[in-house]
Amino acid sequence: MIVSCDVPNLLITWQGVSSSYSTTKIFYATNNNNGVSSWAFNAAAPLTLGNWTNYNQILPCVSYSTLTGFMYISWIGNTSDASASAYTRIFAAFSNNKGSSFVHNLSTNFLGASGSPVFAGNYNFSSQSSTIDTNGNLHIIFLYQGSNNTNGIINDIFTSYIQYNNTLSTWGSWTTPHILSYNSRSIST
Amino acid sequence: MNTIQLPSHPYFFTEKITKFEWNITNRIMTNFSTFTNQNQINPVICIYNNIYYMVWQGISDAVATTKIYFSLSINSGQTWSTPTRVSDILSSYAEKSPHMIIDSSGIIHIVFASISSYDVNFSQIFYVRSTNLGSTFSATGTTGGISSLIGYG
Repeated sequence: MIVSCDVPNLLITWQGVSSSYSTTKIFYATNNNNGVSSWAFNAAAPLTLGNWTNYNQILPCVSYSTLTGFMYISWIGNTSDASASAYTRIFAAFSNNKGSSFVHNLSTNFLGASGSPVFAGNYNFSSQSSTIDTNGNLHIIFLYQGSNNTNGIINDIFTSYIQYNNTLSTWGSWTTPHILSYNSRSIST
Repeated sequence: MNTIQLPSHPYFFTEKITKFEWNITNRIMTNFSTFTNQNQINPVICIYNNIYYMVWQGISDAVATTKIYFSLSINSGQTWSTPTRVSDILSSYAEKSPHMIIDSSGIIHIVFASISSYDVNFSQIFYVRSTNLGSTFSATGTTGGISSLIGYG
């Protein structure tokens, strides 16, 4: 997936594996000449933390804040966190230096973490997409396997958002997810 | 037509969404006989200056391997231009998962994955751009050691 971060900056992200990791990771590359020059790509530094090494990270989505100039990547994955190792959760990282590096300080405040509004249970997030609004809020739309099904697995579509406080350098809390559909059985992930 | 753009997101939504209900009569590929009976998947659409631009992953009668195709519509999707390939990667290499944006200067940016015909588990990420609204695209070259090859995964 590609996003334009105010001409001439571009950001690309994808899921893949490399010789450094045995599991799928989130890679990214940047270009500061609107795609003309070569891309900056660090294969040795995908979006992962030490305790995430053995877990798959998939389905990245890029976005750009016109308010702050930050680049964002959200994705689905597992961590060694006790509440999330067995079930997928949604993570996000941002870059305040045009993609030179990404900050992972949502590592303990991911969507579905213990204490998150709803969705910290034993169920999976299976698809997601994100965007930044003009106020700097990071919005996520996602599929979540609900716990209230009686006829098998049911995926429902929800939205939630979080805001990064530039002054305090902290994230807020995820808003309580808003359901957009019920029993969307036909949706493929 | 009134359009709404999600901030910093390449997709557009339109109030005329009901006109995009896909059926056999307005299925885009029925316009092109060489595509009619082949699988076409993963479309991405952008709107820039009231022109619709679309890329997708598909197969034509002429090229049996999945490739990335491009088409545009100047009449709100009623008709579409003859699809063109966006890359010159070897025909034996399958291409998949395209994504496209059009930046504020009107340049089209497309990324996609190309899968080796020698090892289906090995794919690479490619980038092409068009500075003339899709008339031509930058060369990707053949797989291996090219400037537009971004990374692997």
